[in-house]
Amino acid sequence: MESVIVENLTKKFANFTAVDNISFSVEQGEIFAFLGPNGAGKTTTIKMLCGIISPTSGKGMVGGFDIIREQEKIKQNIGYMSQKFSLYSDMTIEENLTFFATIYGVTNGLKKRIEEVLNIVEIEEKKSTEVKQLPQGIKQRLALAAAIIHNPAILFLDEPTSGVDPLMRRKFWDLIYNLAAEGKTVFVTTHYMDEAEYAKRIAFIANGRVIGLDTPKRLKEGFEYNVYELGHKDYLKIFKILSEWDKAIEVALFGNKIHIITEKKIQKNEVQEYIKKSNLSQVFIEKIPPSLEDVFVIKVKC
Amino acid sequence: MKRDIIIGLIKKEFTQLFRDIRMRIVLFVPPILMLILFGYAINTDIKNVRMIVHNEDKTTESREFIEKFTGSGYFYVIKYIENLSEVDQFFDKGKADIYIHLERNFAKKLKSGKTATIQLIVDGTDSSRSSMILASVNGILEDSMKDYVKKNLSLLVIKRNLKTIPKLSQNIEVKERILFNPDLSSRNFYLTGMFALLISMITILLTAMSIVKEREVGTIDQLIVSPIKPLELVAGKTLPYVIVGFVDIIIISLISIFWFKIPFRGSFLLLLFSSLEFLITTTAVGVYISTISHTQQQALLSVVLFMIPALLFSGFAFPIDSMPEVIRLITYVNPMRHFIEIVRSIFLKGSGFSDLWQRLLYLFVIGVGLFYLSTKRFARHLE
Repeated sequence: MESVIVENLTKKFANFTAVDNISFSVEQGEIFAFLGPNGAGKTTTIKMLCGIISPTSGKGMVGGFDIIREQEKIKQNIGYMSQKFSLYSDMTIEENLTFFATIYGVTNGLKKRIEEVLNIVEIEEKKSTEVKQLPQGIKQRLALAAAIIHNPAILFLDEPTSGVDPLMRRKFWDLIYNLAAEGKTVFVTTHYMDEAEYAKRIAFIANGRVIGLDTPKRLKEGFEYNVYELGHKDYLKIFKILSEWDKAIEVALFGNKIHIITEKKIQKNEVQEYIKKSNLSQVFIEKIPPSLEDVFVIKVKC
Repeated sequence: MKRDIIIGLIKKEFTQLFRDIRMRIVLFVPPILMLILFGYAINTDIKNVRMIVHNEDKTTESREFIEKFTGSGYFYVIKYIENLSEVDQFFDKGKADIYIHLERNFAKKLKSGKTATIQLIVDGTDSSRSSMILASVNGILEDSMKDYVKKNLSLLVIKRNLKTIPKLSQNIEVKERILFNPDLSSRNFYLTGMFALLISMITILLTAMSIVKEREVGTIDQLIVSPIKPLELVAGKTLPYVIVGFVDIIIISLISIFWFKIPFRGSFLLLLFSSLEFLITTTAVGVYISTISHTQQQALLSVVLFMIPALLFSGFAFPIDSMPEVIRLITYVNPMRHFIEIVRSIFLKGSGFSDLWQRLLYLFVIGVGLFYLSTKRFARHLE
């Protein structure tokens, strides 16, 4: 069963097309990642799916409700976590959750439900703390708790882990997995490539268009280029040299390593040959499997 | 409109308001402080009126007559003169406020039932002060004089303006007795006007700020994706401040009545009812301001820009009757004007619903209009 179906969805603001004719569908219980740089149209899409803004053209269904005509019903049946922390800092965790439970009409067993969600996100011992005194990671989990307080079937998480340290991010994803395992559909946007790998399926989005949509594994398998990793103590020099190479489609720095993407026909020794010309020795070269980032970069370029 | 949602919103608003100690103070202390400050400091009452006396009669009765003035606490004699020509130098130097002349045979005339004339010359430079002085004279004549004096007295009043009116130009004024505020206490007048000022200031500001803050911090995003309807949100944002305004009104009334001894002649229930109407207009203005302000600073500035004309054209300090026709018409849409008049009427005149229904209706219509406009703009602004 599909939780979200979108067909030819377009949103224009004056002369600017934020979302350009996108179509996709999300299965129930699936973790679906929307991956793309800032300004690619991720948030605009989410806003249309949540019934906050209406599309310029195209149609869509969320949880069985029409995104144009049944926005009120959608709002009651989804949970939303915004990019920016948007709960009340001057109230305690418990007060925030009580408030959101009330406005979603959770009146029966309100106390019990709050205990439940606090348990799910594992912050029950902090429930009487004022939110502004909490670290970012806890705030994020509170935002998730508020988003699921009314037990919605679909969750929209807009860059939920931005500004959170890696360990907390990992923990947060565990929570997302648990929710999906319960049968909730999780629609998540991110610009962290590593994070997207946790999703069941990924949609690459750039300039308002979906430029690739598949499971992380298949996206990488379908990648018809070679990726080489190079290492040297003077890595900046290597980077400079490779940037000038016409056979390198993409050169990028990863810490003190350099990744280059080339056509499939370019072999490792060809890279070695090219480096040798510049009289650098002890250059470490290795062919590596493509990352999602490599896939994304090439998709955007081509 | 779901009751639970609105109650939830109100609870949340109060939780936030009372969390911050500073906020708790801001809600109730400044209105009280301003009221007390105003009650004591701003006083245009006529005290220490400097009087020159020209008593040609020199009888016990005429002296008693003068003593009524000095005994009132408002007048004191700076000089007894024998010659009218001495008057000018006092007025020219601004050393005297009023000259009073009692003719020869003053007492005799009065006793025999003839008309005795007293002549008053008042420094008319400050027109409001001079009319206040004359009003005090009137009050003293009315209240403290024996009946036969009152019956047979005729007043010749000359207002003397140093620059524009030539010396002793004669305008004889027949002064009416001032009703409702017989001792013409400016405190009664201004403090009753303060109600509108304090209440609107605090409720407009708090309403606008609380909405703009949610937008500034981003918490409004979470409300927009929730099933709350715009009207519910407006209700949840205005009702808390209507309640705050209500509590403020009660506090201010009690202080005015019991501390400043402002006469309260009307119905307290009617005062509360009109306050409710007024608070609907002010919170609606607050909502409107929130839709034209991106930041809390802008909201603050907008509130000030609204308050100044609203106050100037409210009759708080400057009488509306002396404004040009066009302006007078404009003041009809100013909720402050109606509320000030209602409060003053209830306090000082004891007016009831039958006297005030028209004003209450104006206020109601303005309230509904403002609320409709603001809510509409607010709803559009949410998208």
